[in-house]
Amino acid sequence: MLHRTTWIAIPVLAAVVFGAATGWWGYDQYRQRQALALQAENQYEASFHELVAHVNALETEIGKAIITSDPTAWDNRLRDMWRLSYAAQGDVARLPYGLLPMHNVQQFLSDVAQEANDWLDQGVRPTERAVNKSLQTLYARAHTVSARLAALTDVMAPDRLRWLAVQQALADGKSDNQMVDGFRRLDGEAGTFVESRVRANVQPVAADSFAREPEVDPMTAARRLASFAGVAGPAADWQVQALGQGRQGRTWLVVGQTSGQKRIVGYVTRHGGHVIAFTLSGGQGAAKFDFADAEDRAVAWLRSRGFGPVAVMDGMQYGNVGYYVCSPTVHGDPVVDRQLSVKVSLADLRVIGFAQAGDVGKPVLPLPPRTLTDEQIRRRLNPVFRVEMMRDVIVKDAKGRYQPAVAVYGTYDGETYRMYIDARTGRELETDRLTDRTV
Amino acid sequence: MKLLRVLLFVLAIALVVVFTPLAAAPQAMAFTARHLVYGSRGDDVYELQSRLRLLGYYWGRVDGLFGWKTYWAVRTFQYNFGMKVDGVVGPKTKRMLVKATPNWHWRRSGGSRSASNHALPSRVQGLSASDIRLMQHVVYGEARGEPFEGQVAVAAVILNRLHSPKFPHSIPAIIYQPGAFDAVSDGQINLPPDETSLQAVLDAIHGWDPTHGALYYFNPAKATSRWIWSRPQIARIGSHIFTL
Repeated sequence: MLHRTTWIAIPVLAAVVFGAATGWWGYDQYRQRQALALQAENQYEASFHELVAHVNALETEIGKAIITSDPTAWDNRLRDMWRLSYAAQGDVARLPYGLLPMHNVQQFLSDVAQEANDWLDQGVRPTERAVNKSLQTLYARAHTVSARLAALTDVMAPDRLRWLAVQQALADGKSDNQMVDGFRRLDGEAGTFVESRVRANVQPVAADSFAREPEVDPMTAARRLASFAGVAGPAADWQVQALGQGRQGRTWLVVGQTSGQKRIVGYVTRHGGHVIAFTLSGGQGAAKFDFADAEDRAVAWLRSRGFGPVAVMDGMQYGNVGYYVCSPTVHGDPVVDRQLSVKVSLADLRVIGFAQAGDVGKPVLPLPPRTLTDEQIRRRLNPVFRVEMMRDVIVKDAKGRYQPAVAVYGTYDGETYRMYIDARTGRELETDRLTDRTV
Repeated sequence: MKLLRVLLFVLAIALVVVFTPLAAAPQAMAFTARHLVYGSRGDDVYELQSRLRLLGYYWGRVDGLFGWKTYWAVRTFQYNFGMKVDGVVGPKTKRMLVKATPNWHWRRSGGSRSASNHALPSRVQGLSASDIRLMQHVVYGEARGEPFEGQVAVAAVILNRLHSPKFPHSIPAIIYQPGAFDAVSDGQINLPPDETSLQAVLDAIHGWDPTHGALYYFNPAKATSRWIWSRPQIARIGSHIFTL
């Protein structure tokens, strides 16, 4: 009996072991294939997003080159145009478009690189009519490509289209894949075609800003935070943690619960006990107040916290929260390299977030006098740039010195740009594109 | 018969009462008392844009977002109508605008409803909407189980890398740098993100950096790299340690 059972059990066991081993091997193979597929997918995804960013930045740089009249800024723009077109060509080469006719896009990118290089060699000026006309043609082509890429991004994101599906569609000779069709359209229009810029000068509060002030203990830090944020406390269960040496120096991190079960998290410098940032959970409930009311509240709150007069430099509403970016003013002119960000709940006008950036300890005054009037600066600008507004500001130059400047807001081809012009030399310090019609 | 007349009379009165407000609805859809400034959004902005467009001052999309194009249109309108040029739409500007557009009609000049309160402007603090969405995916993929400040911290690390010369100079290049983020390596970046992760990204963009300039972070329960443990640690937020 036992003999017969053994003879039956052995093949059954062997079959089970073989089946399990085959199954495990198969699953392992499947996992490896999936990992490779994901890696390839990520590479394509990366190249595509970089292409979008580079072409968007290229459009911005061409736009800036069109409106500039300063020779130094013009040379910088040309170098950026050359660099970005070269980078975008690399992105195109890394996409699975071997079977797609991307010749027109490549041609456009090559044209930009060639023109930029030639203009640099020849030392031409941006205000020359022929140069400006060529730039406008390149700008229009860049916008066509950029807009089409943005449209493709919109198709990809919600439908979660996959690059490997594109390759499969190409291999199968199908043309109903949205991305394949989208790229074919893109290339067709290029025959006739997003690197973001953030103000690099606005740095976090420097580590040595308050180094000369005495150190505060954890309890004092918690008290300062509660008072600054306007909440009751600190309660006994508030926690204060010493943070390591970050860019803002040694800091206390304070975390606690306030009345109404709101959670407060704040950062207080160990030297001087200054609140660098805090956030208060909240902003829940329907918006009952205007965005404009909340702006007034943000400005008044900053003044009440000892920041003096401030100017609102930017603002946006998202959901029932208003974000405001302000700069302190000196003799009425905002110091744009110092930022005070305030987050206000539109449900109850409560300030639920604050952060400051910039070298707050460094004195702005004395400033050299302004030697150019607004009208003199306006006359130096490229005539294709339609000036909408001018505002006296104070900015930091490349050497970190505060200089009087004029922020010139204007439009070219429906896009808004902001140009900082040195009010003593007339040199263009920086230009930002503030809108993006491709989105 | 008399009863029927009475009933008909009552019915007629009822019909008048019911339909009169409906007939007047377009006129009622005028500005509310809100002040409108750069950054405002909603139906009032939608009405403002469509009225300015009717007058030829505004050429952009009627989307309910008070952006730069709307701002320039308001300023030009104020200048041409002899008002104080400040770009702020208060009662005086609204009155003048309503007077200048007597034929404006909500439906005729509009169409679809204005943007929701959760639409993003084309650029926020220099970052494009596509960059912000990409960051939102990373934050959700990397830190969806973390406290809110832990999610802001991940977004802040991406921004700190953007400012650092050691890293690529665009958001996509930073995110897709090989091995930079686990969520990219394991595909979790493709998960549909939630609203909280976008709020965290917006907080970071508006200057909140709970990491104090950190360039890296790791989960101490999983990290085996000696190099990451050797970095100067700044803070522990949730299950991540943030380092320089």
